[in-house]
Amino acid sequence: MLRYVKARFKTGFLMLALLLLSACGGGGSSDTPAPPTPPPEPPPPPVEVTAAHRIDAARLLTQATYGPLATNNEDTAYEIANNGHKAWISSQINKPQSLHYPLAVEALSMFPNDDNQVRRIHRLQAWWHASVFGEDQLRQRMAFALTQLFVVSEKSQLSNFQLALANYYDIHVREAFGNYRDILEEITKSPVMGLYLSMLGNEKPQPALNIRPDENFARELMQLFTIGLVELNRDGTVKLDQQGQAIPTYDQAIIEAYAHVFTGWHFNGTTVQTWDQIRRNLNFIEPMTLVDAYHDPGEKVLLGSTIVPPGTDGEVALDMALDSLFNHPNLAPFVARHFIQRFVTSNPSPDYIERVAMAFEDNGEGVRGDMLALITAVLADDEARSESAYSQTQFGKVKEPIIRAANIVRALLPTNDNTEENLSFYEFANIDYFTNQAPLSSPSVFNFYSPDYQVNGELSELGMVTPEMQILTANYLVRNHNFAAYYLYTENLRTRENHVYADYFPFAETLANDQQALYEQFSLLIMQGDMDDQFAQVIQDYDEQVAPFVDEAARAREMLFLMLTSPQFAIQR
Amino acid sequence: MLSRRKFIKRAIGSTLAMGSYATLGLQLSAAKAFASQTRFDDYKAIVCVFLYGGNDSFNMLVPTDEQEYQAYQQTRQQLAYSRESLISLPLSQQAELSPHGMPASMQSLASIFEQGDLSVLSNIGPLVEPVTKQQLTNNPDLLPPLLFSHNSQQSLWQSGQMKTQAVTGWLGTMADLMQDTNTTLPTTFSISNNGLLTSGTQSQALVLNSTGPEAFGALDANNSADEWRIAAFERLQEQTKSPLDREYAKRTGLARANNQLVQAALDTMPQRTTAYPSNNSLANELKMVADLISVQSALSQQRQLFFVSLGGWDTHDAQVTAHPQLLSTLSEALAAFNADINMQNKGEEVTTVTLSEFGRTLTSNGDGTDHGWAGHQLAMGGAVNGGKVLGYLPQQRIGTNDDIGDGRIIPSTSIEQLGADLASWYGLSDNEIAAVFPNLDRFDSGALKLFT
Repeated sequence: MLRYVKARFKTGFLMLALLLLSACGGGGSSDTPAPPTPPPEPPPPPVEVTAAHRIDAARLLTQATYGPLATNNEDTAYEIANNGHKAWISSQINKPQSLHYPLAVEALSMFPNDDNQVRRIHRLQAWWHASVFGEDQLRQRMAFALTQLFVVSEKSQLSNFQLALANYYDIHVREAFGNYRDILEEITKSPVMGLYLSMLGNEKPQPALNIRPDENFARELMQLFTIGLVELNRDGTVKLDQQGQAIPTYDQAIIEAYAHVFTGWHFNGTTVQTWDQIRRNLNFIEPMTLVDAYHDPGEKVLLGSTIVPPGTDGEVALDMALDSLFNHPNLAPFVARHFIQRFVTSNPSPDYIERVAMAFEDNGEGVRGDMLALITAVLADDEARSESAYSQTQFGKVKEPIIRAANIVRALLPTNDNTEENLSFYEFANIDYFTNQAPLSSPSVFNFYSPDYQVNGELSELGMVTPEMQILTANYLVRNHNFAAYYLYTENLRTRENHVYADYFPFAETLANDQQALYEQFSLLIMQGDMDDQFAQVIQDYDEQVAPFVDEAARAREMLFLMLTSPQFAIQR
Repeated sequence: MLSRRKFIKRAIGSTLAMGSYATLGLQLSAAKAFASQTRFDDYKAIVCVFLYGGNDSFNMLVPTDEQEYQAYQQTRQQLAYSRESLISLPLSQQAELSPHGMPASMQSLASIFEQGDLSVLSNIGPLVEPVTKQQLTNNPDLLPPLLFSHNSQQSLWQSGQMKTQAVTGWLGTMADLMQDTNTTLPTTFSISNNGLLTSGTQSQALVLNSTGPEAFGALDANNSADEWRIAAFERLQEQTKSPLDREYAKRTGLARANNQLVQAALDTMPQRTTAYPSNNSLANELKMVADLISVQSALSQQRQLFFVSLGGWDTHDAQVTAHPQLLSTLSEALAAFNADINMQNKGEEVTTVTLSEFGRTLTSNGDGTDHGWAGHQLAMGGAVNGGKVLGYLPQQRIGTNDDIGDGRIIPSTSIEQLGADLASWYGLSDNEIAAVFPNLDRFDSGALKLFT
């Protein structure tokens, strides 16, 4: 970690010391009796939680978690009112980590198979369990966003290694608030990434056989994980040359230089003698090992005037290569935009990107790449929080379909028993049937959607990009809708013991007692605190139509169906 | 009142029947909803098969002449097919070509080639203008932008322009020029996933799953018990606060209307007998295309455009096992589709082409290949100038005038030339074709001769 820390004068500490000195100074006369110690100031009375705080809490929980729970708006609103957004974010760091590997193993014990192997159905249940029940909600969302940057996918040779995929996900759970440079190194040496982008087993050139190093990892590391294709300003806008053209960040020669750096790595424990015995060496958990004999020892000219001299140790060369990308000026705006798009809005202003990029470049203590500083800057920014910002035309995003599904599950989570930890997500393992999206399951290393995806019409005329629309095609619009219908109306989900189901019965109670209170609850729980009168009127009109014929539970379910299938629920603001 | 109550109870209390599609009330108005496309009396369709990842397409057509084979073997080393394993292609129509063969995994396509319904479109790729290696060396501005990057080159291929961030594709623009404004139903269909290729300025493809259109659950227009719920649902579609809400609502409305129209037509579909291979996602998609072609008259569509895709072609490693499997998947799917279309007597009316973002290096990285530039494509159909290798066929040697490094081959035919031949056959005028492919005038638009 030391390598990120610039020496920095601790001004804050110094100021405090000066104040203390002046307080003690003056050399009071011994004649004067010491003034009586003033009584300790009473703590300020807690700030009263207002409607605005509750709305802010609903929005923050929608942006930064897998969705509000029926129980957590008031606590979050209190935290925001009294300690601020940053305190809420900080409070997330120390929540117990929900790791997917052990959860997948546990799912296997509940749903065993003949050869005792963790399969997709177990990994997906683990994901659901962590995402829905994990107290470490922000950490889980960070992990999911990181896996959409450092993409590996089961739609590859990895399909048979589901436990390895759970373990790869856990890199991102553990490092969610760590440093980008550490994550970069961990994913580079990960055998899962090694297999996915074929750095595993990549050998130095053999010119006589027309063999040169594999360029796959080198290329995508640069294009997708760190700096992108063209030079950027710090605010994320494209830098232009004197002819008004974008400037490529690298050329083919640079790709080849990095490809040479990433030679000689194989499964942990591999030696020069066992290089070709892949089955014997199979190890998808520990980092890859460098085998010198297969590493290209030549000079490599990298980005940022980094030159790896001939004969440099392969580990050192890898460090230099990752440093050259970590220190590239594109990295901060590139990463800033990714996280703003995943959490807050598809079309951030350049100023917003720049503020987040600056926090990434320096967390205030001279450290570059601090992911906590980054996500704090994303979520606490005025553009994410203030009403004037979020009522702008271009603000907001289409919810990621799988996050929308998780929103539904969390909003209707059973509350009437304390055995939630045992509830199974067996029925949700093939969620991508509905959502066109599942963790570590994108069609390629280009993730589920492009950050620049545009649809023609009003949106492209406004210059807006809408990444998630790329997977909300006509067929999947239907299926996204049908997830809500399936979850609400499938009776046998509820009758299976210990399986998650839609518990709308508490809403029936509220409906019986205080109809207005129910609408307020729905607004905060489901509509991001933003259910207006016209919207509520539609729900109420329909409710009045059906009320004479059915009980409160069925009425609540009908109201939920309408909200959960509305355009306003599909969009996050 | 009692019966009303019963209805409501049934609707609200019932479990959801997923995916089952009752006869729709809308069906009756279907014939009226489709104003006929008056521009054409005949029927034609183009099917684009995008091979995502970059097909090592030079390995689909291998020289079998002894000297040329040796050069190929020397270049491709352990990724070369053995000479004995290749299926000889009859190239008697083209005396200038030395003998070539296809890998055994392409057996079914080799047969179609022999029947004269398939051609290899040789050495195609994105070009700023026709160019030699010498010119490229002297003037790097003649290189297309961001070569060798997957998504950038997909954008060039699908936009038909030098645009790495395009928002419209050439199939979509073609559809714009022919769109019937009297119906919401587009003439462009995409099966499974959307591609830039089918995105027009006005028209967007209807994206369907391989299993066909699906219904919005709990909103069955044919079930009077859902009536109040549907009305409330539709009122909420109008409750929008931002352009994002509006786009979402618009898409929902279109999907509801179009899925019902297509389902109503498919309900009239005549039974067909062609067997498609199982466990083949491309075959499933092409079967859906054949279904839609079979009901083109019920849909009142004289022109149709289709987009299907197959991923996995980015063979950086394990190419020796992976690539033949991919070619086999592709070949069996295309062959079944060809048989189905011929059974429908539409062989002359449907043209299928493959597209892929780049070819791959002729050199190896040990067990695979890296991103290249030009590659071959396949064209299939009764109208195709078949049984031929169309376009210039480069040698599979490195360091030639075709090679800009490590066996990345410079294209000799542009995407525009391929697209223009298709658009012309489809029935677009020269002016319309020029609108679809603004850079076409830099190339000899009659040179490829995709159709006879």
